[in-house]
Amino acid sequence: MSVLLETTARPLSLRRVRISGLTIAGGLVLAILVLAAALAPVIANWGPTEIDFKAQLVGPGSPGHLLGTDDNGMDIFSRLLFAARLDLGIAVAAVGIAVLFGSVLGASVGYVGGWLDELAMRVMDVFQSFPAFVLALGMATMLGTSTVNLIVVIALANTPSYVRLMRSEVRGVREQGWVEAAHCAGLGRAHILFRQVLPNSLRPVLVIAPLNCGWAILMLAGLSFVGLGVRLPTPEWGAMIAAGADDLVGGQWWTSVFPGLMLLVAVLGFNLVGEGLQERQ
Amino acid sequence: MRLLRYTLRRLVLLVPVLLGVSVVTFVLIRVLPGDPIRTLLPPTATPADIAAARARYGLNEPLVSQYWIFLKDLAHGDLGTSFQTGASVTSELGQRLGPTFELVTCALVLAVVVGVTLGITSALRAGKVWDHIVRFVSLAGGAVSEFWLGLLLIFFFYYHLGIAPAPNGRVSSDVALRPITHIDLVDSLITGNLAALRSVLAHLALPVATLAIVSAAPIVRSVRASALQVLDSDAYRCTEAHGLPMRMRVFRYVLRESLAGVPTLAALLYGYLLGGAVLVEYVFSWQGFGQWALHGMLFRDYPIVQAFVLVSAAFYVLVFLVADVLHAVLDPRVRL
Repeated sequence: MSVLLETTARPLSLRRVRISGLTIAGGLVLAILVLAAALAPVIANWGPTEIDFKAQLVGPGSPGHLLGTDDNGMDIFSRLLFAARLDLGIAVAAVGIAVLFGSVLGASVGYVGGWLDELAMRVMDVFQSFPAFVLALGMATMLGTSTVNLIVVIALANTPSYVRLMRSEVRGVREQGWVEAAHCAGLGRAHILFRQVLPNSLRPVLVIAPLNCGWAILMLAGLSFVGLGVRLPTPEWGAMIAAGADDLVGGQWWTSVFPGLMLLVAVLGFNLVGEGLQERQ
Repeated sequence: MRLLRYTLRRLVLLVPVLLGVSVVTFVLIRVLPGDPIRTLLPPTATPADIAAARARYGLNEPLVSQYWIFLKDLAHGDLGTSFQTGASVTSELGQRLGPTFELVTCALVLAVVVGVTLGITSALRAGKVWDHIVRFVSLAGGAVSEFWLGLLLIFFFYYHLGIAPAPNGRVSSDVALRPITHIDLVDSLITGNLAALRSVLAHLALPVATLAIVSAAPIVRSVRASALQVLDSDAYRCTEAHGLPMRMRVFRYVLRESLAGVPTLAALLYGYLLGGAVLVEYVFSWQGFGQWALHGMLFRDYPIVQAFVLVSAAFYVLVFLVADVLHAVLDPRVRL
């Protein structure tokens, strides 16, 4: 009986997910970015914070500086590549934690129900009663801005939506016949929740996750932009845009335009993947 | 009548949520690291000075009695005094809320108009060139960071073309605008100050465009998807078969049905814009609510942070209430 249940309640099998063209395009963009980030020390001709004292604020196409340098003489192209590590890393780690934490919490309260469920939902009401970016902003000012803190801040700001999503999905799945059958077969509640119900409720969460990675990068860049995220000289796209903002009104556009373009491409990559997944849902 | 009862019930439910929000903020900002007193006193301050300053702001009381004092003041419409400026937070809030409200509302209205138009026209030409252009632009618009877009617009329209004013405020100082509501657009209209009105509109253009571009993208996608659904429905095919004129089909059938989901989405965006406005206000030196809050957070100015969180939460919840009511009005199938 137990064997039968295991097979009927198979989690997300890859065969059932048809891949859309958008997802492939987005995946390709992301793959290139990840590759560039991983190979940054090989591709980049300057270190992430290395200063060329002979070339400060030179334009794109200058010898040795493909995309120019900033006012300290740091190479924009090399910094963009190194920044991809931090931006992608923090965003994906934060969303990963939010998914994990939000799913387990949401599934648990949704499955158990009762006052615990009610309490959890009211707490989520409180956290969702103001914009996520404001929540992140507040937590970042209070906690400080180490990499770990930034991951925690962005993860926490994104958790409530997963709790809600998972809870409503689990409440639907919980009512299905096979859950009752699992009960009758004598499986424990924890086993049913985490091995049967949870894997079967993951789909909407996983569809949202890539889109969420895009928001997370924007959130990180926004925090860095106002000085509450990654600090210079550490390469990060948002911080680079902030540093270049003053050059922009002097006509030196490359210090802020290129990091912004990288940000756009990365978020677009995640959005394409997410969009494709939603289309085929 | 049922709508009214529903609205009242939701308004009553607002109270516990706001109380929860105030408790959470109140405790969190005091428990987390960071001391507001340190930023006020010179580095040479003695422990006695620090203790005196803490007592002056009531920070030496137990948390519970601090909160009780806060609640009592709040009931009288008093949000405390700013640690940094010593001014009444309620009156500062009054000056700061208007500009942001103006910015965010103009952006949202523009985004809805542009988003609905693009969404419907692209659905009507599904698969054609126009449709592809709209879809690509809306994908890019959804991926762009608002502060970077703002900088780009400043670069083109201020630095290159010289047609936009410098990004340093809401109105030029030489037009003598008398503040009444602190919503400059309204103030210049009721005082009949045309020079000020022109200046206000010129200053509004770029930040509003920035926020509108970013928030139009999801509206386009949602409207396009629901319009496609309508176009594919039996009901719509029936209007075609009856030979109703195109104009009527688009305005009475496609538009009406595609609009049903817009209020909820717009409410979400309104809240999102309030967060995004922090960044755009920073770029354009808007001196609004968001910039005020950012400053308050950086200096641990507790009363300002509390006021900001409380007001944005109230605003957010109210906007969702309005959206739910509008949705029910637009879509008779929805039962509240």
